[in-house]
Amino acid sequence: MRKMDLDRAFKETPPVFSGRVEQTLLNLKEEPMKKVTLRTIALAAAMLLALTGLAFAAIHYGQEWYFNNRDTGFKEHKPDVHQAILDNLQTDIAQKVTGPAGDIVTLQVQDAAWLEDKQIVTIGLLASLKEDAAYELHPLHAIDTDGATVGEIDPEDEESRLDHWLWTEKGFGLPKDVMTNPEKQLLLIELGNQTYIGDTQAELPASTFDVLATEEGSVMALWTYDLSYLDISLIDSRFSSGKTPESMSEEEYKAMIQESKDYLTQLGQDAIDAIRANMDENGRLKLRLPFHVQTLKDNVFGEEIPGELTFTLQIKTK
Amino acid sequence: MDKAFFTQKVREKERSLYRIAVSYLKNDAEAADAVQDALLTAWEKRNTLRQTEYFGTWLTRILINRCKQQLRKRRPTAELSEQTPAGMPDTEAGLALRMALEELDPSYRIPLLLYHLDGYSVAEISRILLLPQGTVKSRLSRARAKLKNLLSDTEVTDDA
Repeated sequence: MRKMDLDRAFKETPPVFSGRVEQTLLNLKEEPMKKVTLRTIALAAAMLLALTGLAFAAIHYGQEWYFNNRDTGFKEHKPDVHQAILDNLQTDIAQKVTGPAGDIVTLQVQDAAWLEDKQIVTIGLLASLKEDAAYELHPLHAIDTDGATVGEIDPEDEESRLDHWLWTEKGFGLPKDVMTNPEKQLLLIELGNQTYIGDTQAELPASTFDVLATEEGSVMALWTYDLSYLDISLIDSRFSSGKTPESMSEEEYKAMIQESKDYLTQLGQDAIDAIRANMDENGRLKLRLPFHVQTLKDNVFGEEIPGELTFTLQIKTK
Repeated sequence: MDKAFFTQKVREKERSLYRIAVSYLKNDAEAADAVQDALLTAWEKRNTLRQTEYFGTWLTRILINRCKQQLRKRRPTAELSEQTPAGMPDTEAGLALRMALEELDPSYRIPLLLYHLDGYSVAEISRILLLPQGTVKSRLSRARAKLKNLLSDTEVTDDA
């Protein structure tokens, strides 16, 4: 079978795809992402509490905890950014949740930093159950984290299985085996959607996302955005070191790079326009984060129950 | 593995990553999501790859896992058959070939693409799909036979 024949079965790689690949590559950070488990944190906290004679102190799952424990990359490799985030956290944030999911969970921006000089935005979220008698809350990202095929057994694929598995601090397995209280209904929350500017469909660009279940039964998420993508003049320089891959002609590669540049330019310009149009006279900007919750019962996902968190950040000093 | 090496290798593999992701997910946007997640996972776990010559097989394996994960999270109402396949070519011959490929189960289509388009060996596909080499060979053979029936004018060779 000729290679060219088979490749004809696919259209050209779309710019939106190439743009996402380039965007992802450009956002990779050289420093290792050191992840400290909640179990380690809990053990350290317990030892500290024992030493200080305190009986109990709950962890506050804000950005100070996150960047000092879960992700210490900034602390170790960019201490100026780390300090700037902690020094500029906004905590008095006007916000509201709309949609039916808001009847089941409370979702709040715990804290946020918009640092134009460091070209970074960080948004820390915490979701918890409004009525915890019936449900146990976990992030949707904690389901089937191994990527195995679920729902059919392939005798030649050892990873395949019939049931969805959940990752918790107790391990990875059937929800009933790893939930804190298997008598409760498993409720999953998806917080990994885009953040939109004002009432537009323009997104805050160049994001990374992390989510975890806390030992208190809530779900913490942290979004990071790279504001340098709002500087259109930098886009050309992002592509300057690219070599033509062996599998492409120079013309093809140039065309692909141009499409990627166009995509990033459009993404950045849309965001710039949306920020200008939606920032009020006091330098405040409204943002929207759609999310949803759904159950997983008897191995079947329930309907997605939508919600939207709207919040306002101070992005310019008055 | 530094960022320059990783970036270069990913750019070389971009077309392959697109074909694999869209073959599983049938949707450009979801394919982009899956590849982005796979790249982030690969970057985070880059120190686990001891021999960089296996970068392609390693990254493809991560992407396939991610695609399977996304398929699982789809709602029952969004079955593949109800979606408009993405990545459709605009030529008649290309369209016929693509429709024929769509007829194949992914367990046959993916080895075929990896072998004939991406140039992976049977041994490499065995590592990517976690299948015995004999199974890879038989799937390749059956995939070709089925395509041959669907596309009588396509040249088919049995070299694996």
